[in-house]
Amino acid sequence: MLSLKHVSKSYQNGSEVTHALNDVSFDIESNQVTVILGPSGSGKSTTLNILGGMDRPTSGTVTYNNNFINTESDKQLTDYRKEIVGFVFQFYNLISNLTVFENVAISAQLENKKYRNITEKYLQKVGLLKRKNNFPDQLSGGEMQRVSIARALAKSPKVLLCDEPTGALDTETSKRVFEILKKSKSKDTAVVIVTHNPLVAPIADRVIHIKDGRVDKIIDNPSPLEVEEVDWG
Amino acid sequence: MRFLLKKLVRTVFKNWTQFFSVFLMAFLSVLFYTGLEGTWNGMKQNINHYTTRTHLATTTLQSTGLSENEVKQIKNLPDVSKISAQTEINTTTHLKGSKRYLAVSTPGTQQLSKTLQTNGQRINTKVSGIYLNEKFAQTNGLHKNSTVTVKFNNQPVKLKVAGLVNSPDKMYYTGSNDFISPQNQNYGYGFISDKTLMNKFKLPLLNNVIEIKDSNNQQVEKQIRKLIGKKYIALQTQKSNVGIATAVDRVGQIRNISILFSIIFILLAVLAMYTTIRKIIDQQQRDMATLQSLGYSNVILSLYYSMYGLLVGGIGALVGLAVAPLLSNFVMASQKPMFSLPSWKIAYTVVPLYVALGVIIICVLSALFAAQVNHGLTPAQAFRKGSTAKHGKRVLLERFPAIWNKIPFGNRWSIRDNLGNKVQMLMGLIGVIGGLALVMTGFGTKNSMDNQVDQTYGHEYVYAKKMNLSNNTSQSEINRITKQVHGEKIESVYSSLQPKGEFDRPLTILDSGSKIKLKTENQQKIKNGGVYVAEGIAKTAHIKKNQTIRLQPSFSDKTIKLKVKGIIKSSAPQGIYMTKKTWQDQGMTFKPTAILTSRHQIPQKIKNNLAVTQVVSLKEQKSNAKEMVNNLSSIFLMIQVFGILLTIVILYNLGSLSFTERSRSYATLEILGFSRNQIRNLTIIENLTITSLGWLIGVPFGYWFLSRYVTTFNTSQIIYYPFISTISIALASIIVVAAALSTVGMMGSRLKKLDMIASTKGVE
Repeated sequence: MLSLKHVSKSYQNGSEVTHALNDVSFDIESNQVTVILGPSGSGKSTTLNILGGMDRPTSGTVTYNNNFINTESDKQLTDYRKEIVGFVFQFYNLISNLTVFENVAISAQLENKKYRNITEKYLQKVGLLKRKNNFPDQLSGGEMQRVSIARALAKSPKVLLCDEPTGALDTETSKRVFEILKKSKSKDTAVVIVTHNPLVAPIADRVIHIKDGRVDKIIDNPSPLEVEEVDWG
Repeated sequence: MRFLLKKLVRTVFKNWTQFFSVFLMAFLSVLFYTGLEGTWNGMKQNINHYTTRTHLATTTLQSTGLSENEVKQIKNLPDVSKISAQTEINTTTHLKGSKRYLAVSTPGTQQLSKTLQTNGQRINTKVSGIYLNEKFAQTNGLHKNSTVTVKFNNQPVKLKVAGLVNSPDKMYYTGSNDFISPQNQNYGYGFISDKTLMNKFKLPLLNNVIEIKDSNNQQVEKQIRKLIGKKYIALQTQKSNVGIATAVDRVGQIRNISILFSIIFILLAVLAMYTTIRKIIDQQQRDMATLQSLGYSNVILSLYYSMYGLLVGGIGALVGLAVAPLLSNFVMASQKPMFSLPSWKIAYTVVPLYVALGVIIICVLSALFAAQVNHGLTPAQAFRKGSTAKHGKRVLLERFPAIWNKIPFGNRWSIRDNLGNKVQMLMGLIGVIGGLALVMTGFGTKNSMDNQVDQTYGHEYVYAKKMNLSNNTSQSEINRITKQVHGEKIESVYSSLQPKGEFDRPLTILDSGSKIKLKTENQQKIKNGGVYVAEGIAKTAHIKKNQTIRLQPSFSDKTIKLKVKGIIKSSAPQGIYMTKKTWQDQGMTFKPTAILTSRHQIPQKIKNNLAVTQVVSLKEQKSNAKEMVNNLSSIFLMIQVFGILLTIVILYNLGSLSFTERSRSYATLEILGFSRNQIRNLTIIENLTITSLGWLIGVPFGYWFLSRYVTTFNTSQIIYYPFISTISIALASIIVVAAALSTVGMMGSRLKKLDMIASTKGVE
């Protein structure tokens, strides 16, 4: 589905060159939860940005269903983000002056004219339909992240990219968020979670360990645990 | 504090676009005031110096001619300290193939309204030549030792130019009451010695112009009237003498403009400073909380923010002071063709320094005031404030779901954001309203003046030619000429006006006819049975309709009492009017001074008739009046340019502030799949909404502002009514909307640099 082959990414910082990614290759499959695991500064966010069409690699190829993403124009990348990718942010990135409903609908209407029903469907799914008329500042952190997930799902993305989705949340709220994310995988949808928290690994179908800008190891997990079965410490 | 200062300088550089508007407003307010003060104060000092140095007379008496004994009696009046008796005659000459009009006068004692020579010998009684006024000589290619032949009573007199001079009572010289702007090539004045008058012009000393230094104009007027009776024509004070008053009025006009516009820019500087500092504080909330936690007190942090005002306001004010002489000289240069002054130096008082200081203090205070939002917060509270989500608020429009639900979500966001941020929105509105008002004023002032010219010389005066008559023309001769040209007669004299008339005003008596179509406020024509007063006089003399006023006209020792039948809504000239019948019913004799005709061609025979002193065409009068309007066009242009600049700067600043605040949200939208065009459209719609709202308020406000502003150009001779053409309103609107939309273009480049990746990180 989504494939990275020999991807490298370097940044020029004055006279210094930083190699954020170095010859990274892996595949993302639909109907799977893939966790990209690594410590801070390992290159996992850069990987996510390249997967999400927000950044281009310095070398290597990125393909989605055999179409090259890395060579596409800005407009094609915008379409890619619009049609293929859903993004869940660590700090939610909700628009403060739009209500819960409107925050989700602004994304849903990009792809579907019947956005009202879709918006309500996903708000129902994340358990926030009753709060649809609230503004973000009236929600807790967990609720805001659930709105962020509903917003990403409302576009029916083929790849749901989540950047440290529970990084700002407590354990109980995190569990709820992971449950929703885990349920979001389907035969059409891949879920990718980027995290530094190794406790998330057991719920994933595939875990890609990244260290110093390289893929350290890839572990496929034929029988991932349910969120409730994980010892969250 | 050292590191805070470094932070301050870096913040200013990083956010230079936002601080630029504060700088510009501070700069413009100081520049406008100081630049124009350099002009008006320079003119004022030059005029004062000129009038003091030349001992300008306080009043000038025009009479039909006085005996030596009468002159002596005037000199001995209790309120008179000095006099200078002169003889003035009107001559003509032919120069460069055209007829020129030259008022020739004896120099008097040269103790009052002394002439200043600019070239050649000083005026003395032994010289047999003529001293010409500088501008007339220059425009006609005359210089010292040139020869000029003047005609008086159809007799040529050859005179050598003895020198070039300027007279302080003719700083603004039109040469004829028929013109409102100088015609230096056609009208001039000159001085000849008493001896030359007697020998070459074969005239005795007439003493028809007496320059007087007195301590009480009104008392002197009464005393002189009593003394000379019917020989009295008019007493001009410095306030009513066009040659002096226009120059003094111009000082006041430029001063009013400088004050009015500086205040506008200062107000905008306050708004720009306040909103910019508020945004900087919002952006740097976590930095501030960190500094607080390190031990920096709120007082130090408040001082830190006030330093922004000091730095940016200070630089703006200093640059304004430095650039001001350029503006002063530019405006001064535009006044030179109109006035004759010996010096055109610009001059400043200490007030610009106070204005600059005031602007800096205002910037500092508005920054300090904006910084108070964090006052009293503990570091923990400040941290929380920096990381919590902004409050979302519903707006009134949401109560109308039929409308609200049709608005796209992106626009709902910007509507809520704008309405929730009143200062920012107000600033945007003020930018559009202020810009539109200034551009409308720039166009409208010219329109108003052009309209005055078109009204006066197109709708009120509808003759083709005006033939001025010699004083001693017989009634039969006047009737004969009138018949020949199918004309109509008018009599123009001066009259005192009681009560509160201040000085002698032009009084026009109209014979039957339709060449002068003046109307009252109620669109009534001038009818028999009362007197009509122009609106400007009515206002200054507090005259109301149906009030009884007393008039004492020229060439008469009678006082006539009449009811004011109407107030004439006319710009110029500001005079008193009545019909021939009303005039005669008061026992006065109708002695026409001019004949008006619709004929464009006047037979040469009539032109050569000694009874006709001058033939003036309405076309000439109109183009002369237009010249005066054109003389002010540099000021109109300046106002328009500043208006456009203001709109761009304020709206760009507003857009820039919003953009910085929303860049994270814009980046989020881009990640979600919004194209840059869609995001740009959000900014365009928002910009258009504010521009449209600003336009709706701006057009009536602009008209109101224009109506206030044009009154600053009013003089004792002309008052202006606000008028702006539909084309000007459309043009001003297009300019302002284009200026507003151009800021969207500038935003476009920032949109390209939108950092999607940074938006996925935490709030800083």
